[in-house]
Amino acid sequence: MKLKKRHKIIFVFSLIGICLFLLYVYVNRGIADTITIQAEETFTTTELLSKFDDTQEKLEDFIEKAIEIEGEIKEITFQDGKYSLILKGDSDISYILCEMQANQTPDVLKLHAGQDIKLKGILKGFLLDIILLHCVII
Amino acid sequence: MNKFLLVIFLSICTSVTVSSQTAEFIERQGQVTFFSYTSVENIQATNNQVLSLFNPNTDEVAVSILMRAFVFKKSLMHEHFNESYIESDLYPKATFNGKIVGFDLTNDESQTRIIKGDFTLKDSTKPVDVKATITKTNDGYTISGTLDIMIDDYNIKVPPLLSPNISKKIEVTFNFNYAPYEK
Repeated sequence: MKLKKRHKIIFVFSLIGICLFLLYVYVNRGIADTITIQAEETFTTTELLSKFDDTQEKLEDFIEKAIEIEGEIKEITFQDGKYSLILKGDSDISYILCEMQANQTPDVLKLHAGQDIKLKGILKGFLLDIILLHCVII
Repeated sequence: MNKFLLVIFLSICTSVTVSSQTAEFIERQGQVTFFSYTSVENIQATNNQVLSLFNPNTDEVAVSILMRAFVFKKSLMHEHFNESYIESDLYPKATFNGKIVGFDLTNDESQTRIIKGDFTLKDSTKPVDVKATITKTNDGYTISGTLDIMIDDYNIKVPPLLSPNISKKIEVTFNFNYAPYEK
């Protein structure tokens, strides 16, 4: 009888321990790796910028989702330990700002302005430019 | 003939000077970081994609911040920030429009000045005084500084359970490197 009670206590504490561990993992989970996220749509830089110029409504559907983008690098910038690629389309008014995921640094160092590139990133929204974060080279 | 050449030379010099004085400056990838310090938890997030315009001729500064572009260490913090506190779907941007008090365009050294303006977040606009350092660079300007934001001023509701984790006063730091804006 005592043995059964002890088993029950061990079981309950183990269950509580597992729940607390899972809660800890859930609360402290980091940002998902964009490589593992399925892209919703693929655009060229010109297509994306023209959609942005026409109506932002169409692009609102892709906010916080992964999209693939293909185009020319205008500039590579470095700030706060992170690289960003500025992609250009036909216009010189708006660009696509792609902040790269930290693990992309070795590959970004091999890139240069004027080069064509294909990226996947999370669309965050728009100011004067279109902003993507956690971008990876594909 | 010499007088004629001198007039042309002076008019070119004047037009170059006037155009450089009236030029606007732009920062497309400014940095804004906020900190919330409490005994329970410290929260920090950085946005490296902040848009700002500066007109040194009128002393005006405009800033637009995309709220979803703040990067947190933890995914859950990002979710709570955008979905519960800021409601980024409804209020995607925060803005600041202000004017530097006592800015001296001819001074090439760093100037610490107050920028008086209005900060808008979640449709709430409050007047703020921002202490900032303005420095002239080779091709533009750098403006950096800090300000404190009270969350109660901007309709940010924190659930009672989480209130010990979020500071009532949020410290914001910013750094903008402006380049000439060619429209």
